[in-house]
Amino acid sequence: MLTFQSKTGDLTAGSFRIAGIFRSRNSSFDQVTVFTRFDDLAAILGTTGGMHEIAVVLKEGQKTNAVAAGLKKQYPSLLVQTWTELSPQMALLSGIMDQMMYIIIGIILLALMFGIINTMLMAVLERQREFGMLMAIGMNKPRVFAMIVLESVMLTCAGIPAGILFTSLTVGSLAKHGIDLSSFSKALSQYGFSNIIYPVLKQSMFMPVILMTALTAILSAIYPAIKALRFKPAEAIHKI
Amino acid sequence: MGNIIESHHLSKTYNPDTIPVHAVNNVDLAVEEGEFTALVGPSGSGKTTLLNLIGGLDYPTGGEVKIEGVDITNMSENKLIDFRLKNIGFVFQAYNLIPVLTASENVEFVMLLQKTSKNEREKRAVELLTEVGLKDKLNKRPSELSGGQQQRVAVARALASKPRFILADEPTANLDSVSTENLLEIMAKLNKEDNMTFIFSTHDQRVIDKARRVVTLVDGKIVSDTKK
Ligand SMILES: Nc1ncnc2c1ncn2[C@@H]1O[C@H](COP(=O)(O)OP(=O)(O)OP(=O)(O)O)[C@@H](O)[C@H]1O
Ligand SMILES: [Mg+2]
Repeated sequence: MLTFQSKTGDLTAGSFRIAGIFRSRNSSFDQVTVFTRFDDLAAILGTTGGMHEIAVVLKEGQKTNAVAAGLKKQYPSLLVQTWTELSPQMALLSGIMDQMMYIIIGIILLALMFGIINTMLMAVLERQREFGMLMAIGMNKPRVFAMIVLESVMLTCAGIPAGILFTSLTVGSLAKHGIDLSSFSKALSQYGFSNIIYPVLKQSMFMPVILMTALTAILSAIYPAIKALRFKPAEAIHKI
Repeated sequence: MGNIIESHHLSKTYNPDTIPVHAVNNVDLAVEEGEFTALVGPSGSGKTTLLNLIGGLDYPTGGEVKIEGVDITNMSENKLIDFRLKNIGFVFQAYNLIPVLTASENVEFVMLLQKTSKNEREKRAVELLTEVGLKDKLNKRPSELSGGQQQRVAVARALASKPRFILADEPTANLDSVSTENLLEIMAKLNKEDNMTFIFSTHDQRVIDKARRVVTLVDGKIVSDTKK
């Protein structure tokens, strides 16, 4: 037995026979959602062919606001709401996820920074004699500095394509098969998230991440480079 | 002819505050253009320290060094690097060359620092390597060369910058007797034909015999100075 408010404002009801029970990946959705035939419902509500809500699913999430604004303009009599307006908690959660991602990127870049500092410091200390010799025969400090920073950048440039290839392969495969998080499904489905996640690589993320990585490489080469400049040629050459 | 190198009361004391080591002690030395001078003395007598001081690789704790009348004792580190590039050629005992560059690229490197044009660099590198007998090794990396050949590349590299003199700290210490003789011959030839000034330290009697002037150091002091 289902009760509704009809188009005229009266309370009406209809009795339906349950034909099946469904379960989606979203338990809160399942609790409040019932599917009926459109015509049956229209008869009870007296809407005859009309409807009270249309859900629009976009392929590109970024266009939500633009499309909503367009629809508002086109149908000024209708109430147009984006999903963030309909479900602010969800929007908040999604925003937190995005922030988390930037924090994680930050942590990874920090780890990268330590990796590069370590590698370059080793490379510099190992070649102390070479740097001593170079300064002895007349390579000046700005050149030595530039050389070390450039080496670090080149190291990173070699790493970036390899990283992109690896990421594309792994994410590509996961996007196809999905990441099965069913062991956490209870928690996830309460928030309305599916328990199989299909990761996507945003093309727009590539450039900023590459630039940040390159910047990190340059920044982290500075300390090893300064270290190299402190070598005294007379001492560095005779280091065994 | 005037002196290219002059030192007055030159001293270098290591650890002045704890156990002072007078590595170079009040040395007066004058070197004229065209000399072929050996610096000898027992281990620890201060040969390396003295060469570093007159080559502007290290600062003295007392006295002064003049290269062609220019006092280099108070030059800043950056100015000294430039001064070395323009005036002094170096040959070290080992690790003279940049391992990833070929023989000719190593020789060209100093000329690159001096901003010599590409054509001239390549031409001069071939000339110099031919002069040291390595015409057929132009494109070999140091790891593909023998110790003696590497030292000859180092001599060619030292010459490339057209220096006023060449300092060599035990250039033959890691070489067998044939390579030693070979290197000395090349240095002597460059000295005779181009009037290039050489000052080298050594322990090797055969090398000492080839020198025309022998300066002996003991405990940082010159104890004998003989010209032949
Ligand atoms: N960086 C340093 N700190 C402290 N003492 C040093 C330093 N370098 C050299 N000495 C000391 O100075 C003295 C002279 O050393 P130097 O290396 O000039 O001798 P050398 O004649 O070149 O010896 P060798 O024949 O073994 O090469 C030695 O007693 C040495 O222990
Ligand atoms: Mg020595």
